[in-house]
Amino acid sequence: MRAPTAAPLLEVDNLRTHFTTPGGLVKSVDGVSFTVGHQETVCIVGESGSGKSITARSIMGLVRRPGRVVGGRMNFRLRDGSTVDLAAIPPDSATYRAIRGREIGMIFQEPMSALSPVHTIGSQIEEGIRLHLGFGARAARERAVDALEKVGFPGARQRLNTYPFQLSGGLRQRVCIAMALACEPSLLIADEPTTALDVTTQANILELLLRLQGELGMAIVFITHDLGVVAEIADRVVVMYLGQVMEAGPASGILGHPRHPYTRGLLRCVADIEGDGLLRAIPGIVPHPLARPPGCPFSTRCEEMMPGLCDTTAPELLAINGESRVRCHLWSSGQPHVTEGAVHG
Amino acid sequence: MFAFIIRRTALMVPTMLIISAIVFVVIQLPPGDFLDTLASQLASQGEGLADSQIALLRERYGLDQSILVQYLKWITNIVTALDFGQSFEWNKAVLDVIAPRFWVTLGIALLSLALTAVVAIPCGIYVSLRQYSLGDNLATFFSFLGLAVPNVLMTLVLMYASFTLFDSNPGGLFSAQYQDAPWSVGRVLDLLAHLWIPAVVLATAGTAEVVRVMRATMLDELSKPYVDTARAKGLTEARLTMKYPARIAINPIVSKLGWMIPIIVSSEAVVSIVADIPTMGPLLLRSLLAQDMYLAGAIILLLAFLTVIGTLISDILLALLDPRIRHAME
Ligand SMILES: Nc1ncnc2c1ncn2[C@@H]1O[C@H](COP(=O)(O)OP(=O)(O)OP(=O)(O)O)[C@@H](O)[C@H]1O
Ligand code: SF4
Ligand SMILES: [Mg+2]
Repeated sequence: MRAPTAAPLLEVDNLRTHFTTPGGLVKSVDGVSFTVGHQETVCIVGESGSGKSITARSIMGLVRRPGRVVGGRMNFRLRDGSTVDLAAIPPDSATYRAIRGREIGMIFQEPMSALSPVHTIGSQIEEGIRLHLGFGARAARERAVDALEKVGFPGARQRLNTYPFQLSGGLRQRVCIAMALACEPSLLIADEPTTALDVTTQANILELLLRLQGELGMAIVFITHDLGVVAEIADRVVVMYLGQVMEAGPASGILGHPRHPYTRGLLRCVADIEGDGLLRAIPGIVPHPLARPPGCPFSTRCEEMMPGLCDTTAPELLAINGESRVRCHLWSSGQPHVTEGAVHG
Repeated sequence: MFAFIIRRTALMVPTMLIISAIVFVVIQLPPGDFLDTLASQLASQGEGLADSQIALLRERYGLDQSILVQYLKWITNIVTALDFGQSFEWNKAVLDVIAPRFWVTLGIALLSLALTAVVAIPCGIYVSLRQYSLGDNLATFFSFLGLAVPNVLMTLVLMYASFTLFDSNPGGLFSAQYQDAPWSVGRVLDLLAHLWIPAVVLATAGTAEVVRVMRATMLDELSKPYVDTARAKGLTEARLTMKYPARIAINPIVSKLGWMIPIIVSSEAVVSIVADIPTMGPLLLRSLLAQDMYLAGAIILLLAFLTVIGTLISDILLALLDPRIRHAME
């Protein structure tokens, strides 16, 4: 275990990722800041379209055109102890490629389409190992078997030559996890890895990820809609809305004492499901990305909206007692103004 | 896989039988027969043919029997003895008339197919990676050009270019010094020097089509999540493009292969006539005009056979390339 005072593994500061579309500039991620400590689990939550996936892709250097990281910093601590700003290196550069799959692994939502349908799982797992660890064919094969066994894939050695379509959804996701973790990265980004799976499989995969996290000593950025999962696994939570962080902080604080009206709304939905079984979403709809409301992004749906303030002036992301931060005018009066990104330490 | 090939090959037999019956009926369709054509030809030259002579010939060729009997005779001879009957016009066995031309035709077809693949597949991959770039637009432009310019014109232009630039007369199959020479490297090169023009002309339409399909499929495949997965592993763009999307985008092209050979063969007539190359196309044209039915029938049958074989090869290749298809068969 590293000392908790060590510099964080990943420090995202004021990240901005925009898409130039014919309809206009879509600011999918517009000033996102959060930190991930070594071996920590950070959950990113928020409704559909809030920019969770684009944040994850930005870190991984996987933003597709017409999208581009246009600003901010993503300081990532490499295993040799040096730090690189991922936002400053071109996504298709050798430097970034050496990080992808080696220092940071990623798993995706849909395990079927995330795997090539016409290549064996062995071939797909082995290539990363050969690339990053310089293993020969045979050694890479052994390592792939190891990786598959680690993720609880039954009959790994005999089934290296199977194709994804011959496997169940749960097994496919295990293959993806084995692939992402084969080179033992220090950070795993998981973008809704269980959403496409049935409930039992979801629980198994989640359990597996937590076990592997302990074994490999890695940090996880976990994107999910499921606040139940957040309660189970998160050390820290980042709540996103319309490309911005609304609230961030330790999981206990966010789930136990939510400060932002949006976080409260999300939690109320969960409480309702557990209460009378009805899903009560936050009233209103997420504004179109090209029609962002002036002032606070949540002002069109917020029950506590203060006319004249919320709908004209954008609130800043401010630190509230140490590690928590909130972007809401309700919390701005009398609180110290802290520059973004300088909180976790 | 093996069982699949056997099954598909066995299926070819009834297919070919049905096609052969249709072919036979169709070549019988025009009113009159070869002897009528011959009689009227002779009559126009002032040499009448006695009705009794015509009747005699008709009997000899079995033209007086019912169509079913004629068909059975015809197909039995083909299957048992590879005897396609007699060409009335050439007064030779059909097989002897066709055989040399068949090889030339097949050679041109395969050559143009290879050209198509070698040019169009890399081109399609390239333009999909550089969407809307200058190269993409150029490729689209040349595709349209290739489709729009008539084959005759393109043949003439290429022949003229070859004649003026390389000072070689590309007409015919061989240059004079190789015409009757035994086979040698020089003779093969000379043959290629004569075949490249029809091969290139016939490849243009196919190339335009393959570039278009390849580009569209590549764009589709490039947007798939497995490409992100490959990037997330840290592979280079070049390597992951070739291993994943390009590899998958080849499949629809391969499944088109089977159809391309017969299309090339059936569109080569005009090119061959212009370039004066003895292929099957002009022969088919002439045999149809002359109602030389056994010759025409044999050529059409061969074309059908090529189509069926081509489709079979396509299906086998596709099964080899795509494990999903392979497993669905088992
Ligand atoms: N290729 C693109 N072109 C234009 N806009 C895009 C593109 N990709 C994403 N966006 C926009 O970026 C915003 C954030 O998308 P993102 O996928 O990150 O949302 P998300 O929070 O992951 O949602 P979900 O929960 O549905 O996965 C959306 O408003 C979306 O419209
Ligand atoms: S700033 Fe205003 S509108 Fe936005 S969340 Fe806070 S109270 Fe609601
Ligand atoms: Mg998403």
